[in-house]
Order: sequence, then structure tokens, then C-alpha cells
Amino acid sequence: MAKSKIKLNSSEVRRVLKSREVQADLVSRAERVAAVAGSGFEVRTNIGPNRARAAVVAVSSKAQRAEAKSGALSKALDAGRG
Amino acid sequence: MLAVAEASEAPSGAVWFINYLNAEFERLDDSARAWGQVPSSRPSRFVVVETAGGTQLTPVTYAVRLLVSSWETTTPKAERLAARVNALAQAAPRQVVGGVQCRAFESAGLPYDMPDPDAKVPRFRQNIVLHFRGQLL
Repeated sequence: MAKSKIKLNSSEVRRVLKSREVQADLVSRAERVAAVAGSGFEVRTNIGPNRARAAVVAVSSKAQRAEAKSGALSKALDAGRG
Repeated sequence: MLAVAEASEAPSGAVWFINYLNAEFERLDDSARAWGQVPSSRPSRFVVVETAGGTQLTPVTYAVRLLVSSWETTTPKAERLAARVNALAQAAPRQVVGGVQCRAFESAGLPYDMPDPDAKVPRFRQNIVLHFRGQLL
């Protein structure tokens, strides 16, 4: 049987990874993580050369302390699954 | 006859890793000990392992995320202790503790400096993921 060969179209893959749909999915996941982590955690997004990104950042001293004391953000990561 | 689904219970990854680290520290003649929380009589060199979630990969396999903090008297010493913990975590697959075998290790980043904000004691943190098979009930 002949082997199939798949060749990805890199520019199209980049377009998908930067698409509004992917951005919306990333923001939704990051917002869930931020909500579970608690107050003072904010979602930040940017679009890099190859893909969109979302991050959850501790912007208040209370949130930074919550991460330092109990790992509030580290323990909230699973909220971004699914 | 009704088919009965088998239930699988996830092992405690934190307890497994604490017991594994303590056995390895003894073997290495290292005074560090691992705990589930900061001990009341705080030693100068210790590790705290906490559960930080994870994923059920299949009906019987689990990836457990652990938040591991390494405490020492100086920042360089805390960094070295964290590096030792990281090395031991990487060696965990195929090790058996309490009848439970660790199946895989996933790195979730290298240790980072995060001193305790109250005690101002040097501390390095790292997130690790260990895979286990659940126990059928």
C-alpha cells in the first residue's frame, strides 16, 4: 500500500494560529484560569509572528502575594482545559 | 447479566513524590526532607510538595501536576536544592513507592526564584507533572 505524505502549508498554519477563532479560544481559556486564580489576575493577549498568545498576569500586590503564598495561579491552570 | 464498569482511583501524586524524595534524600545522605506543608519546627533545608491539579488521560491513567517548593538558607542553596529535586523528578519514571509505579515525568518549566513573602526565606519553585496508573476498586 502506498504511503501517504502530508505536507503542511506553513503560511496557512500561521494564519489559523493567529485567527480570530483561535484568539477567542485562548482568551476564553485564560479568562477561566484568571477567574479561578482570584481577583487581581488579568488576561493579556498579543499576536506574535507565528501565533496568537494569551497570558494570565498577577497585576495587583494581593494577587502576587496569593501566587507567592499559595500558588493561586499555578493551581488554577486546569481551568483552561477542555 | 449487567456489565459493571470498573472504577479507577487516582493515587495521590503528592504523597507518592514526598515518599520518593525522602527515600532518595536518605540514599544520597542529604539532610533535606519533603513535606506536604511547611513543618512547624521549620528546618533550614526542606521541600514542600502540593497538588496543583492535573488531567485524567484515560479511564485508568492520570497526569498529576505538583507544585514543588525548595527552601534553604540562601538563594544559591535553594536553587541547588531545587535542581536536585528536578533531577530526582526526572528519574522518577519506573520507580515504585508503596506499590505504585510512576509511569512518566513531564517538565513544566525549570525552577524559579520565589521567596516566601512573609518569612523572606529563600525558596525556589517548580511545577512538575508525574503520570500514574489508577488503582481499580
